[in-house]
Amino acid sequence: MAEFVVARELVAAVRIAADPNALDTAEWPADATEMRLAPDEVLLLDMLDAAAPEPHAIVFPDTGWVRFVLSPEDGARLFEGAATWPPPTLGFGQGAIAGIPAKVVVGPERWCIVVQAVLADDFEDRLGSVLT
Amino acid sequence: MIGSGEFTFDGEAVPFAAGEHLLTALLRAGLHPTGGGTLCAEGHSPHCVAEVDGVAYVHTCQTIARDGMLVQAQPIGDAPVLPSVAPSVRPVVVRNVHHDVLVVGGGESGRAAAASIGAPIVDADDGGEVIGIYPGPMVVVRTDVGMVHHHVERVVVATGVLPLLPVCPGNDLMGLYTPKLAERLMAAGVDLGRTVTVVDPPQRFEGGGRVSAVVVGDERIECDAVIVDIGTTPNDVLARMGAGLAVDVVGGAAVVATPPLCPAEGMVCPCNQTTMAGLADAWERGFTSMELLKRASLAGTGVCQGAVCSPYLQSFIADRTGTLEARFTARPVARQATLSEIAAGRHHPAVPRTSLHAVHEAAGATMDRLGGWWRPWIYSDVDAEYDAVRNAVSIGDVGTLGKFIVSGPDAEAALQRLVPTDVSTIGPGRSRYILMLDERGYVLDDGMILREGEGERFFMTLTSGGASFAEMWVRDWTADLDVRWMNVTMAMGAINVTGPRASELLARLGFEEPLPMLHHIHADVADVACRVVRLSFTGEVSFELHHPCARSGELWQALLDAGADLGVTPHGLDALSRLRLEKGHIIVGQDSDYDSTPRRLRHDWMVDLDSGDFIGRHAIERTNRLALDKQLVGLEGDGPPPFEGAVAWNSDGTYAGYVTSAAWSATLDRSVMLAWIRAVDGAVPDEVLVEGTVVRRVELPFYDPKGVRARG
Repeated sequence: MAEFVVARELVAAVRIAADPNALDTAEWPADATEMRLAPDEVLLLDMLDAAAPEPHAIVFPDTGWVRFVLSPEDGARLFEGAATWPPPTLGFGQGAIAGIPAKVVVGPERWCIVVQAVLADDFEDRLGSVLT
Repeated sequence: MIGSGEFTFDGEAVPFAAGEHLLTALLRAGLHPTGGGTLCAEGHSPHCVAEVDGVAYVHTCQTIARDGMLVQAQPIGDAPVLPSVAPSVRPVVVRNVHHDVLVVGGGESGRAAAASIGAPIVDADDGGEVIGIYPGPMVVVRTDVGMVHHHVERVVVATGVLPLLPVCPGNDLMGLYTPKLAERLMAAGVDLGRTVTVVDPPQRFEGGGRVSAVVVGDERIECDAVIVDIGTTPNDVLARMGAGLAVDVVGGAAVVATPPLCPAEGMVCPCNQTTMAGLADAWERGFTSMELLKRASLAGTGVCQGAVCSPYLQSFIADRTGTLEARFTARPVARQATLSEIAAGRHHPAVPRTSLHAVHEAAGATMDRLGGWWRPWIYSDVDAEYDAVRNAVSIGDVGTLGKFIVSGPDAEAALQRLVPTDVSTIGPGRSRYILMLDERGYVLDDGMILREGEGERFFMTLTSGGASFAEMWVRDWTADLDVRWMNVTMAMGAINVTGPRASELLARLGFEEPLPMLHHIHADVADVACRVVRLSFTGEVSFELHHPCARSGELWQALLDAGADLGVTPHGLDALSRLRLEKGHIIVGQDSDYDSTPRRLRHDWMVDLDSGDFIGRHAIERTNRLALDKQLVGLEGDGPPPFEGAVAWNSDGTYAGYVTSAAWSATLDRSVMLAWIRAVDGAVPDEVLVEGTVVRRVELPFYDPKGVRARG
């Protein structure tokens, strides 16, 4: 693992596809990291299961994500060198980083970048080429 | 005495002073980068370009000389010579920056605009050379340390004006300078000899190689150099490039200038050696507008992108029509850029790796990119892999399959719209092979639909390469329905357990429930929660185990461990492609073509015209009335298999079609193939020639036609 990566880990997650109105009003456990991927889809990190927000919702325990944790400095450098969209000031954003679809949660002390596990090795390689 | 360093120009040593531009040093040495033409010091004239350290089209008036530089002349109008050895290229770094507004141009109007809105300025004199303005808008700038991509809400173009370069006979001589360059040269101590400044368009320049006189009006003036100060023209390339984007233009670049008088003679586009006579010829041939004239004469398509010629094209047209036409469209790039600079920050699409990728590599598999994924092509012995499937048991990684969960009150209606089968007749725990058609009735994809329990919930699989397109397709076509889609392609692993001893292997891992063909069930296998799907692509008893991708490795290993004495062997794509071909199963994209209807594919049995208004239905009904013109058929031969793509010929030498898949069948002891063959009067010939050998058309499948082995 490259030196600049604070952590790379498989992340427990639940993905939910549901009526957008139900997702708008749903409440998730306080320790879950919510990523609203689309009006009708949400990804909850650090959870293994969740209650369906409506009867037809698809609640899918999703083991296919990898989380990279960077310092704010490295996170900012990564965006400057490899993303054409500005990182959120704080909170959630999504788009391509180094050509790979990524979700990011910007926090005051760390930036979490989540990519699909099937692309995680490529992402780490590209991250390295930008940050080293 | 210069005394700072030397570079070479066409092998000749040229001294330079510190901080001096290449052009200044060249002119001091009595050299000229391109042999002649008016030089401008603005980076716009094409007359100063040269190849510098292997990079072509470098403006020497903008490039600071460095010791040891290799500079080569690049005659104007000619393409640079391709290097015989690929140059060593280092990736160019890129920096993405975001602003509300960016001002391009550091002149008076640019500074004023920047000051009024508090925006940053990018300016060539400060080392920021704008390559182009792209949609976004995005302003791409070349700097000494790499490329900078400015992502902005709005661009202010304040690029001012350029000196008007003369068009007349002799304008390709040496010794012609704009005032700015002349000032720079004189400041650098370059002796220009007898100079004359002209402020009216000259009639002609005279001389042999170098200017010796200039004629203005009735006056002929002998000289060694001419300072051409005949006016300015808007520097509006970036302004025109920004048309339709959030781009404002201010200052001189925004002025609609009166064009110069139309010259009678001379080189109007030095980049492409287009003369005024050439423009007249194009006009006579009917190219009588700005854009057409540009395309017909190539004026404006060269190195300077119209910096020299565009005002004269305007005057040429105005002289003939009395109308001032706008200048032609400008597109990136505005300056020459290397491929590395253009590619900076770009990444090729990443190829996903299944959750078993490392396992395959550890097993020595040869990995290849197939269907948009890295997949094992062969482990070590394709014959052994094939044999394990036919005679024992084998496992294969099918985690690449497109996988979707569908739910909602309208889930059945959504699927009914998407596929030409009666989805209502797929019972709980059952599955069905399906095609997905486009509006033309052509096959887009194939896969399986599985109904979960009694509710309105389904699972759908599609081909490995089709999932991302399919997600867009199904969402688009069902947006009006009360349905939820979830693409779980990347989140679920899948292992195909196949072979006559597949059931026995699964029983050892806790799955003993009899599962009929085209049924599925949720069950644990080796303590891993799986959706077990009974189907067959290989022609043998097969179970797909769909499971959370994080547990693929342990499930794979459990299958290998439990089946060691059964001869379990992983198989790669090479073996699988042979196995499925023996069964006549198509691979969409390989065996199908862009116009493959189910009937042409011999899959019309999968289209139920009583099942409702599915996509492609009307096209199917219409084309079914036409005579069959070609068909995908099975062929077999006694010789070695042809290459895929081989042409098939009729016995009379006419073209018959081509082979899409071919393999040697160890089980059948002959070559088997699928091929598109033209029908004559609705009938496909019984024999064709492929690679000089007669091959016979046979009914599909080649192997186990009654499907006894697949049903177990």
